[in-house]
Amino acid sequence: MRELCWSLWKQRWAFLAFGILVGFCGWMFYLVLPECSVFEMCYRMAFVLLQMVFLILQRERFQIVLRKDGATRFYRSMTHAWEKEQKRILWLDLFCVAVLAVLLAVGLIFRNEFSETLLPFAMVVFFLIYMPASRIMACVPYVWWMLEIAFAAVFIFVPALDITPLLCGGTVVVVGMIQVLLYRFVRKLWETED
Amino acid sequence: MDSVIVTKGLVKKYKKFTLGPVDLEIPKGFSTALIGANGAGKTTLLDTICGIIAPSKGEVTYFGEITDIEEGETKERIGYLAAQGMYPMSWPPFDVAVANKLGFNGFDEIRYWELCEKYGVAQEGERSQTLMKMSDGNRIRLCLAAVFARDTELLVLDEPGSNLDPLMRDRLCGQFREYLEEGDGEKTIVFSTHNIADMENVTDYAVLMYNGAVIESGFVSDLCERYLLVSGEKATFDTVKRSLMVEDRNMSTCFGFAKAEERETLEAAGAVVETPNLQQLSIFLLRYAEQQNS
Amino acid sequence: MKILQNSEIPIYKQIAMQLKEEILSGKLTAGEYLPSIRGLAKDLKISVITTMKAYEELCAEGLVTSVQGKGFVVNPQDTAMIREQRLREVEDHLLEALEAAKTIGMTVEEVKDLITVLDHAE
Repeated sequence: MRELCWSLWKQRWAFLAFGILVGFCGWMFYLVLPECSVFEMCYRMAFVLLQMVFLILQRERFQIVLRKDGATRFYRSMTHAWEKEQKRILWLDLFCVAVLAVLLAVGLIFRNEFSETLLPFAMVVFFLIYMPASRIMACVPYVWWMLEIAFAAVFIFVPALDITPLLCGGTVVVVGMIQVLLYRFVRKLWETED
Repeated sequence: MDSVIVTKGLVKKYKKFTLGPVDLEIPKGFSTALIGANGAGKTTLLDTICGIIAPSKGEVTYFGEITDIEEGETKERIGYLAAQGMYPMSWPPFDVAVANKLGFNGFDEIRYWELCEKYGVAQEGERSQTLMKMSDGNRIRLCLAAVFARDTELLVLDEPGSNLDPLMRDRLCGQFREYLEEGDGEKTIVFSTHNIADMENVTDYAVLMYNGAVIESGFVSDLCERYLLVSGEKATFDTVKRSLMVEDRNMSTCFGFAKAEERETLEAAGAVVETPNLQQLSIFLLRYAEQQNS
Repeated sequence: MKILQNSEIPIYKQIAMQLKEEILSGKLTAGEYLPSIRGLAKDLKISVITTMKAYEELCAEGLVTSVQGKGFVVNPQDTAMIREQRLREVEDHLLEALEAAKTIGMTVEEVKDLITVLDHAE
């Protein structure tokens, strides 16, 4: 737990900057689209912010796991870190999934308060960004940050974007496959390279 | 004598370079130096032994019984240090500690900071400085502190002394002896170097490598006694030319290198012979290998 | 222990000689253990194999015995044997002196006189 807090504290400036960005975007959005309720606005922002916290935690964890497979010699010189980390990550995953599920449920209960496209969006966030990104982007922090910001912008500014649940499901399958392939590729690289 | 590492027909193939086949036994309880020129395959051999890279062929036996490095706690027992690319460059000393604590059961964080202090690296106020901003020497000091803070039975260190100043290298030698004494015959060190002179007095067993192959290995004293350092007049050298492996001819005198069996022949011809030290032996053997190769 | 790093005499010989001296003079008594090979290597800042070789030499001379797992223990010294060993040392040195004397044409008588003179001077 101490380590987790430390990871969060270490990235406090990024948090602050991101918070300001999201707040600013929300305020702009509120000005542009006055029919959107304050409650929906807060919900969207909370979703994005929370998800970011999870991603940061995940990044710290997955960095270790992925690096064992790909990058530094330190990771390759240890055996049990992999399994130890897997256990930690499993719990963290479950926790994050639970929190996001609660958020989704809240969204469902109050769906009359929201604009129509919010829920499909929330699902895309959940599967498309959170699950695979936390695994793959962990080793390329800058790409991850850019993706995260791009996602936040889309999520907040384009509520009218028409994404059906079917499209969501399809995306999840495709991204899942890409993730598995990428992971295999990284492992293979490790086995044959240098 | 027990061996801590035994390799059998170990081969690692690259596009432009092939290591081995290497058959090697590393004695338990001693300090073994892997000596060779740049590109001789020292790093490849150490990496293959430590499971950092997978061998193309052959097998390694660890601690007399284990043949799979991923089995059980094997990696926990081995302290590995790479010359390059050990930790992500974006890490400060603090992250090195966290990662080691996560990665290994036997990591003593208090000892790590103590050693950092002893080596004069990562002092208060510098602990958030990333590895990228450190000098090569400080980076290796930090890695050494981390590996010596672990509870291990075998240290495999790639070029630990290369980027260190003479004072720190002396301290490192002291650390080696302390580790060996602590183990009382149970702890072993293997390290690679291309500058043997500074490490000669912590070297018990030497393995010489040339172009991916082990050309000679043995306990330093036995190894040195297998060869002779020869000096003599030009005329003398002409008569004993066939006994010499390597020779250096100057205007005033000649130096050469021969097998110990040639002692009588050389002395009868009037040459002066003596037992070489490890430094001289390494240079002549590597030169001999180069000569044979060309 | 005094070690000359740049001496002509190999370091292991220096160690063996000094330990032998301590044993023969009775400073190290029978039943006592020599310092551990790795401990001594650490103290003298030399390699383990060097101290090991020194100890093996003492073993070969019968001054100490290796005890499995415990180290090297000093053997009881036979006074007659010590005398014998010392005598051999004296012989060796005298032989050397005689050879040196021969190269400058000194007779045995002259050498004997020199010894007497040296003895008085001491």
